[in-house]
Amino acid sequence: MWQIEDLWFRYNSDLPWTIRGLSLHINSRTFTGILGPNGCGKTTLLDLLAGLLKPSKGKIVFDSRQLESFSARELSRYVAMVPQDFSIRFAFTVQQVVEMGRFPFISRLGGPSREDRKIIGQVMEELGITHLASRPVTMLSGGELQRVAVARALAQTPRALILDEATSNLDIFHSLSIMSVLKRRMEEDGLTIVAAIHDVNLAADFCTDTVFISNGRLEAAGAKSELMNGRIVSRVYGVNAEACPDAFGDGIQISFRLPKEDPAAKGPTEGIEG
Amino acid sequence: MKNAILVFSLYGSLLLAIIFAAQLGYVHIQFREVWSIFLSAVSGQSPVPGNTAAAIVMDIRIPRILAAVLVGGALGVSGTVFQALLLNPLADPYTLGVSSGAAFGASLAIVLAVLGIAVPRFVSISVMAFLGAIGSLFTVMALASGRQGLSSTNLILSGVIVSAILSAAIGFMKFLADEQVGAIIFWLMGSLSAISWEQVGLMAAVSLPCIIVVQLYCRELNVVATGEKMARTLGIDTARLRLLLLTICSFWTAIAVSISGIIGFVGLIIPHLLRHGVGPDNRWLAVLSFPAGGLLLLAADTVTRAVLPSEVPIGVLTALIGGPFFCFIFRKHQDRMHGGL
Repeated sequence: MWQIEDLWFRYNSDLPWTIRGLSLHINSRTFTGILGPNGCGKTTLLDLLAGLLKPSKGKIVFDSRQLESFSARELSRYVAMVPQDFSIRFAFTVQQVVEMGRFPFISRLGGPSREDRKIIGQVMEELGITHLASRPVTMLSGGELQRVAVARALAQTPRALILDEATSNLDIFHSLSIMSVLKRRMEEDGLTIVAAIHDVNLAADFCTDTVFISNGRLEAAGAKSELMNGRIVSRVYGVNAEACPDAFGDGIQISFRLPKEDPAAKGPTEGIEG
Repeated sequence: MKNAILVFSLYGSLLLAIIFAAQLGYVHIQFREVWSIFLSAVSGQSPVPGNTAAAIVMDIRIPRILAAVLVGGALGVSGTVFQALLLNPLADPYTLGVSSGAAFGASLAIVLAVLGIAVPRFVSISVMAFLGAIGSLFTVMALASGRQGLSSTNLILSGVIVSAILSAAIGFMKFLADEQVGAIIFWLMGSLSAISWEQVGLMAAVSLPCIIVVQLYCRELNVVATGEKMARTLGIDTARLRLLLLTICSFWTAIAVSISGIIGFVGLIIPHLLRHGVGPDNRWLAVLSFPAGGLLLLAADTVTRAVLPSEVPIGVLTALIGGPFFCFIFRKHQDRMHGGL
């Protein structure tokens, strides 16, 4: 779905590179977890994939076409995003916010069609927010708001969905339920998902592929089964990590400890290099 | 449905308010007479010579009433657009320095006259105010445009900086005006007396296209009001939208300010009041904020023109009438909405 070749990016020519020569293939119908320590360039990479930022050097191809050749409107029919900060100051209702996901498909003077309404109803039910339809989004809890954000992105009927830490503020139940909805969408509808995830074990549970980034560089990328091991997690995050089968017996669980000698000085790989 | 009724009742009340306001004043003119003057003016009959009532209504009251409606409406709609686009409940049509620019231009014109410096005839206070407003708007836009386009924080900050510099300059103008400083102060507080039909015509001609453009972009405004990144991933060029709508509304406000002086508060509170009633959907807010702004300013102007023993600057009255009402609604809404807008 995305082919990234020798991608370099910095926000300003005075600033250091945020993404440094990254090459990566993200296949369609996969659930790719982007992992790495804070400030390693995950959000920047996702913004580049969503076409919100333009590469300083290198290229990104989406669906066999240069990403930059898509107009914003065109791309919005294929790629949806759940941003990290989804706080809304105005008291739109849940229904109104989810309906905005249909924006690229509704003409300027028209209203939502019957098809649009059907899609909106479906995603709200899927995320379990139908009962909140007329509630102002300013009155929702963090978990409810996050489900609204995902519903809105799914209402866009995208072929690819980008999520930036979409579950990091949620309790276990809500994290797992959102991730399950996404995984089912991938398996049943062939949705391609790219998600920056903080929780290594959540990624180990739900992703099919993992990409490790540190300090703007690619550390490792590939199928989860090959990469979810203690060695890579230890190197990227600067901790001692060990993987073992989880208690349910169908997955792996990674445990962490701070390294014994002077943990503050070491930190993740970016600390060593920088 | 509820909103549609509100639209009709607001426009209906505005029409009634216009007729009612035309009766009031130093000379009280009966409703029936006002109505027949209206009808004959609309049907194109030339007024009967010596009919003072017709002259008062058509040459003095109606231009002033229409100016109040058009200026109030412009401020109301622009305020709605500014708050949604800048994601800031404190934004108003003056956020990008239009008012301070206009104030500077006007005080410069007044001071030049006080000092007896000859200027070309066309350089009136209104023209100088308009040029000042537009100059200030472009300075703010240029200052705020960076690599990431016009971000709302940059725009607000640039507006604050330019306004601060200009208010120092206005202070200096007041100092130079010496004993004539009253003229500057009176202009700064706004007034709708001595409005001509030409000015009403200009305001009406500008208002119509502005309202149409704003109405066409209300769906985009809604999406932008939920966050910059969300809007961009839904295919909206937020930087272009900001440039377009902020320029149009600031230009519209600049024309309004150049004929009425600086009338504060309308652009700030009208969007808030309406949001409490109909929610944050800008498609309704834009339709409603025009008659609501017009009504508020017309009410304030009628009070100062016809009720009070002598004219009080209208900017003072809009704040005194609108302010307490706003406090009441704001307090009530805060308890209900957990601080959301």
